[in-house]
Amino acid sequence: MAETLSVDKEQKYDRQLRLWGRDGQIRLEKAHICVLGSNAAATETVKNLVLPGIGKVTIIDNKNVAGRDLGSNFFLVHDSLGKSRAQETAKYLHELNDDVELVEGIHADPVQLINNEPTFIKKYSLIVASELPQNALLKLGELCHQAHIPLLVLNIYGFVGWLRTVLPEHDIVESKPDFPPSDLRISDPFPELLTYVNTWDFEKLNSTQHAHIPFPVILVKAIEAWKASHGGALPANTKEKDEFKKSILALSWKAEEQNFAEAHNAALQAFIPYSIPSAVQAVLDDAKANADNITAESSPFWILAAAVRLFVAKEGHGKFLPLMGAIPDMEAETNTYIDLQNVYKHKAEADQAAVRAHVNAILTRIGKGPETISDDLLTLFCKNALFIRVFRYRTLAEEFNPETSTVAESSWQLEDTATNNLHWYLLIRAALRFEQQHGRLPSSDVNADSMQDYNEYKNHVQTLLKEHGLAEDALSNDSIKEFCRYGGSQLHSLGAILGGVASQEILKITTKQWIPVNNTYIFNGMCSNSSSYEF
Amino acid sequence: MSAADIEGRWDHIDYLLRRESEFAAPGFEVDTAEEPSTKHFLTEDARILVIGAGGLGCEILKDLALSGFKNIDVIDMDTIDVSNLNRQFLFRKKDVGRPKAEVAAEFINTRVPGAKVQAHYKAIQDMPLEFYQDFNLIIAGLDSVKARRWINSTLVSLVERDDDGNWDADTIIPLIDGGTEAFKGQARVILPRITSCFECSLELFPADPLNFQMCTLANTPRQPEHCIEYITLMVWPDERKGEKLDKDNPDHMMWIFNKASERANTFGIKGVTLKLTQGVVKRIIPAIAATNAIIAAACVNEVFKIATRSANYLDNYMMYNGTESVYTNTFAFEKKAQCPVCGSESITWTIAGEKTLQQLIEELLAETRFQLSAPSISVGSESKKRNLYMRNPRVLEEQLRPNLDKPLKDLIQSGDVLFITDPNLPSAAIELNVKFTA
Repeated sequence: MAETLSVDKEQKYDRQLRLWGRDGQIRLEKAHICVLGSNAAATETVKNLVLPGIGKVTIIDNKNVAGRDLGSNFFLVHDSLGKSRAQETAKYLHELNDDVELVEGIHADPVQLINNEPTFIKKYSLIVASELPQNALLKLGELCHQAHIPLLVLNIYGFVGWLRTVLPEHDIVESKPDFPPSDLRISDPFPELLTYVNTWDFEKLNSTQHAHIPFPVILVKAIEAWKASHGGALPANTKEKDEFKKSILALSWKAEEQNFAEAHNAALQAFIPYSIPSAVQAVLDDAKANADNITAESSPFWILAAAVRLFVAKEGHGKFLPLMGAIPDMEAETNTYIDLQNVYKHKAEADQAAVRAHVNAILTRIGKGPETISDDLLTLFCKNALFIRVFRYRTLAEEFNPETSTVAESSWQLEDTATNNLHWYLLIRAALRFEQQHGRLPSSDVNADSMQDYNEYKNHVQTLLKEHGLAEDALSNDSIKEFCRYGGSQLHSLGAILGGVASQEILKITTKQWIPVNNTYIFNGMCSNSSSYEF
Repeated sequence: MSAADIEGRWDHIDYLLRRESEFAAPGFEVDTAEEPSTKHFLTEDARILVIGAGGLGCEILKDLALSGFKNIDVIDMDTIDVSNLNRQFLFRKKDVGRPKAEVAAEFINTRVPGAKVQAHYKAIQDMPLEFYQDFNLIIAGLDSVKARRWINSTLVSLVERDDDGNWDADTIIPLIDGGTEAFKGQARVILPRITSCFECSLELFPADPLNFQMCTLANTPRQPEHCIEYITLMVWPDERKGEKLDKDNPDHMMWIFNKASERANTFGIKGVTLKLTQGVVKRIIPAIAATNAIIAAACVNEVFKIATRSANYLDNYMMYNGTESVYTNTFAFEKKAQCPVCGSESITWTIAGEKTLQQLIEELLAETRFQLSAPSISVGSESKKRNLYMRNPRVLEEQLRPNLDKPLKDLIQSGDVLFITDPNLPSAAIELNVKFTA
């Protein structure tokens, strides 16, 4: 992407640019999200997207500002009372960042739009829904699924919050794992690496040089020697692995040699053979990564995946992804470190050139030019080959339909105490049914006590449990009553927590970096813990 | 009707305060519409101190004000920078240069009717002990381990024993502490003397990843960061003698960047940029609003629960990670019997009697679990107390300096208990039971 950011934006957004870079920022600025509902959870979500500079936000709600909104929603003032909640909150949200092009509030009923003007969603890159009744929610889920638009659902009830993300298909090049493995190819050294390692004769070194032999060199020498004396096999069992590790330390001249300690600690890389991670293999095995299936409509991700699949089969000898190319810091002299860096760098570049040839062949076949896939993107893909991911989320329909529901598989969790989070998920599901029938949440009259709707709500709970293959008494009366206690209460803190998580997920989804939750998140504010599920 | 008395304003809270619950904390009493005593405490009596008015502080202030709290104090010694604006949402471009605490208080007081946030543009160390004693709860959104150790140690020192010899609950001020970095964070509840304190868990905070060995920086640099650190630590003090490096001065940054680039070129190292230079010199941590919002609200949720007993509070540590899926780990961090701040046991230290007091001090400085900076040592307590080496006042330091070179066996006996005090641990002392090796 050729676009650059202004100096002002570089300064203001410095702390977030260090996370997702210019490319991430540009994706963020191209997004237009639609938020249905304008309660605390919804507006807190928007706040955390306006501040970092999201492109556009449209808030749609038909509620007018009530007294209780002033006690829970930061983006309203006293004067807002009685006015359109969508329009008032949009005003005070936009004020947070005047670099954001649009934050508008539309006074309209989301349920009406979903039922009567379903194509309204096509304008947006992502939909957020809060406070939607169940039928409209399921209809919206279906609409978003058909249109391939991501949907986030978030609701808060007293001390509990629920977030559900639905992504039709989400591909990630930069999944940025917290603990990325190295790609040093120690157990399977490529020819250029072997050649470089063979230029080293440890015996001929002085003590400073010896203490600065880079650890990959030590390990490759050691594992090649092992393979030579063990018929080409790697250390196979604990005894052999220990023996191998001892043999590394035996090469050391002094206990203080840090490089040999590094080699000892990294010995795993010498005796675990290279393999393509299963998540990456799943991407390469996907029908869309078959070069024969690539068409002019295929996205750059799948074109590159197809090219890498061809690379693995040919230049990768059926085994190897393109080399990452980066090496970690290690105890080494400057010149030898740079020499080693260059060995990996040149091999990575050679692999990228091979991938480029496959890409260009595919592009030619579909009638497109090589510039369709930029060098930057190709390099990024190859450097991240070990971390690419693709997700296809289960739909709301699959989750809510008892015939396709998977919740019974987690029934063992319900034997835990009533504060187990699966309880709260089921109580929320039952509350949605109650709300669909009665137009309000259980015991929502703040002047009445919890028992107001207890019996009726309990009926819904038991019906839900039975339909999903769970015991009717799986949820305790205490927890059913507790949900009635909440009465639809929306605490600002819970709105801020769920809004924080939802906005974080939207950032991940929009920048296509890191890994979003798949697909349900329950936050329990009584225990200050949380759980995620794939329903 | 005043702005503060808007009908239904606190409905969302009333659901929880007016209704019984099996899940409420011990001592919870339901409010009635006629006698809302818990809500009254929340809105009229409770006094909360917020430490820090930055990324976490702004969120905390908003969350407290929208949880009903009115009597809020906020303390922060910083002024607003343009790079704060992507998340410290109480500040605007026009506020750059103004004190954070003051601008934050103004915004909240204007936006939330009835809120009475009082600002203190000060360092926490500049406030007297009596200041802290006035609060029911303290909630911290700090960005340094050092400041956290200070407030933790101070609050532990405020706890007194009652006539029965137990810790007097009236002198215990809960400290709710939050911290964030990129997509990660933690929230914890500290009840001084009761739960683990901040010092108990010092080892959870990882060492500075930019702290490199000097021989690497000087002789075998390999990364652009090595080049930058070398200029900052070795070249600046040498070539710009007496001039303090001002990390916010663009000219100083440019100087470091240029020198680091030259050094990198001579070694054939690539990657020195101005952005990297700023990141290394200022130890910049990436930050976004979303993570701050989550952790701050989790902390305020705890304050709300403690103040109202509407549910049990966190026991006692929640770690959060949002990079891969969304993940929390909630557990009770155990109180350490040998914690220098809140522990009841002394620590046994074995050392040769021939070693000098100076050598003992060096061993203590090297001990990572203590993280001391400039220890002073005395032996014995109360009437039997004898100073061995004190850093202050100057006249005492000069008088005791000869002790540093004396062998320990000439100063104390094996089995003596030494008291180590240090600027990093105000109001606390490490009790060291020294045993000489045979």
